[in-house]
Amino acid sequence: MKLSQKTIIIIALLVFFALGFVLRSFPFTKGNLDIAKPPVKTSFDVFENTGHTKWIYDTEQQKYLQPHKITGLWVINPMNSLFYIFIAGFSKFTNVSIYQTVYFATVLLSLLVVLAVFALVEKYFNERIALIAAALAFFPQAKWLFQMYIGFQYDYYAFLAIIATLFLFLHYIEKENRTTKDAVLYGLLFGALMAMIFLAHYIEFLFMPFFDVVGLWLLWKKKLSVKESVIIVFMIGIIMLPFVLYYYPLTLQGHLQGGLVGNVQGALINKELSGHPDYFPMPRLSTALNVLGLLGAGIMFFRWKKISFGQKIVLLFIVYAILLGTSNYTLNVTGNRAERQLFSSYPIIVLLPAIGIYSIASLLLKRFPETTKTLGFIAIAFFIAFLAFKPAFSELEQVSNSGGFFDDSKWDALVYIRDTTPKDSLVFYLSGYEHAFAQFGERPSFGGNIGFGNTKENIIKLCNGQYLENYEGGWDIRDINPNGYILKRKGLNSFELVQPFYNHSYYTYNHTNAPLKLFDYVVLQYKNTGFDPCMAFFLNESIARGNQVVWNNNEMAVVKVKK
Amino acid sequence: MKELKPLGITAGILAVFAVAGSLFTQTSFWSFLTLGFAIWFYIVLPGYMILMHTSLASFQKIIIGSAISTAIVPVILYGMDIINIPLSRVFIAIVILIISVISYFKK
Repeated sequence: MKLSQKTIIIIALLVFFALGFVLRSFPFTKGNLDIAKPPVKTSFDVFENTGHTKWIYDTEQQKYLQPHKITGLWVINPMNSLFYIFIAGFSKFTNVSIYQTVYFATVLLSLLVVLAVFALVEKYFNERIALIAAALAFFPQAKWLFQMYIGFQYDYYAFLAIIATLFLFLHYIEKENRTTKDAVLYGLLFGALMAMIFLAHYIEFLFMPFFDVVGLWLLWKKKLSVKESVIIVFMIGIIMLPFVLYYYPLTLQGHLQGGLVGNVQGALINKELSGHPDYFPMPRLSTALNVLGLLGAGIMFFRWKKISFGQKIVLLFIVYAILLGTSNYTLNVTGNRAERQLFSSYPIIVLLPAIGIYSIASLLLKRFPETTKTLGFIAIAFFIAFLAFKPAFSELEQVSNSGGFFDDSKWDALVYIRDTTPKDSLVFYLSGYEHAFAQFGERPSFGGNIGFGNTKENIIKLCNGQYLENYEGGWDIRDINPNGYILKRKGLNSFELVQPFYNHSYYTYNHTNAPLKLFDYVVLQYKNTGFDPCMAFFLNESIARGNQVVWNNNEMAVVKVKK
Repeated sequence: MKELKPLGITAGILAVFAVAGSLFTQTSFWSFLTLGFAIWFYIVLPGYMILMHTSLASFQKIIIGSAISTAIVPVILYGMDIINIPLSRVFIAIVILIISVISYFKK
């Protein structure tokens, strides 16, 4: 059987796809997707994403927030939840734990972005450049994948919609003899993609001015008729309108993480907020890619008049993405950290170095027949994978092995709370570092963070032989609008709001300390803490006061508080 | 029916990945198989069927169709939730089948 050159390239692409999966997944999962616990332990946002997706998966609805995040209240969800709905729906068709599928789906989305860019480059440049760009994108330096383990997982989801929009936009414009039916179909597709961004991660709307400007230019040049433009805009409106009417008043009412209101009501341009966060890696290409990228950009610049319309738009999109992704440094654009768009855009930005590599390789392979040339380009792509895979894998493995927020002992304590205690139990996490992942216990919880000092204060007092009736800490609670959470929607833009603990006679959520008797259970680490005698003191004194240790392993204990 | 061949090839590729995955990792074959099925049914199928109405090449329909599925299916689920239809396996499967069947026969 003789394989065509295109088939050989597709096979190489599939091999890269599989290796790209291994690179992103295995450092965290160790290749075992059958374990029912979150593989990524590195970030609060990852826990939030996982917890919220599991809630939708378990309850088969997204209208209400997890009550345990709102001190036990059932309130309406004002978050843009589409990313979570997507994964919850996906997970319904697998037998793998939802804790695993959240990360699996994130990995899949990041690979789909690379494939979508491959399809785009293959169509408007050629399959050889596309394969080299795909190799660079499948196997980047580890820092370009930091969204995956730091919790900006929805960035991949929304950015996939942007690449699909770019692809379909160009395909539509270049289509000959466009009919009304085409305008309706593409309008529907653009509408669905825009609704996806709107309901998943609004900030990718910053890419929309690019499409607006190109669309208006095409209209002006009469490459797009007024009639078809009106049809497309109308179809987008038809799709978007119900969701805007339903969701927009909600998000304005209750600002939560990822909500719209932060950017609508807050400043888009803010010098103080636009700086580079210390936990972000610097989004810089390596020297080699910079040099090759400059070469690629230079070649395209000098050939500008000869290149196709599609190529021009793809290149201008890259320029726009770079300008947008650096606008926090240059124009103080906050945009929920505009440089995230630079990380998201990496798979398409590397088209420039790919063009540089292609140009050099084309010169070297000039005298060879086409089949040999194709094999030469595939060899180059594999060489890129060979160079990049191991260092990136090691670095991600280091991130994964650096501890994170929990180990098996701590996880088992949460599983006990999750599976054994009544749903409305209030739980106090005495060892502060449990706070970040306490939500997996799925109970309203109060805790601290040893880094913030309040937990330290509790422990110092215990070390001084003082058994406390009141403990310092804070509630593990969703961000709250000053007016409260949405208890009920009375109309399109009319809501009944409540404060957490509104039904409680002697307690409010903004107390920074709480009496022990408020809680039903206390979770603590009593071994390997560095202050084991202090925790033993708490346990012994608790037992002496009639409280009961209902569960323990070799490191953790759960105490049931006597009422 | 010839137009559905790429869907069969994609299913075959995912099955190969499932076999390879279960041979070389600690994950069971059944887990990989259900993940492969979820990718094919939930992510590949609906988008591909919709893009059958376009002049894209087969592999473009699979890849860009996957992006379309990740938009259209969850957006419909979001709408279903507003009108109190549960986001259960059965209802999600019905949505995907309706999208796919209508797209196929409307062509």
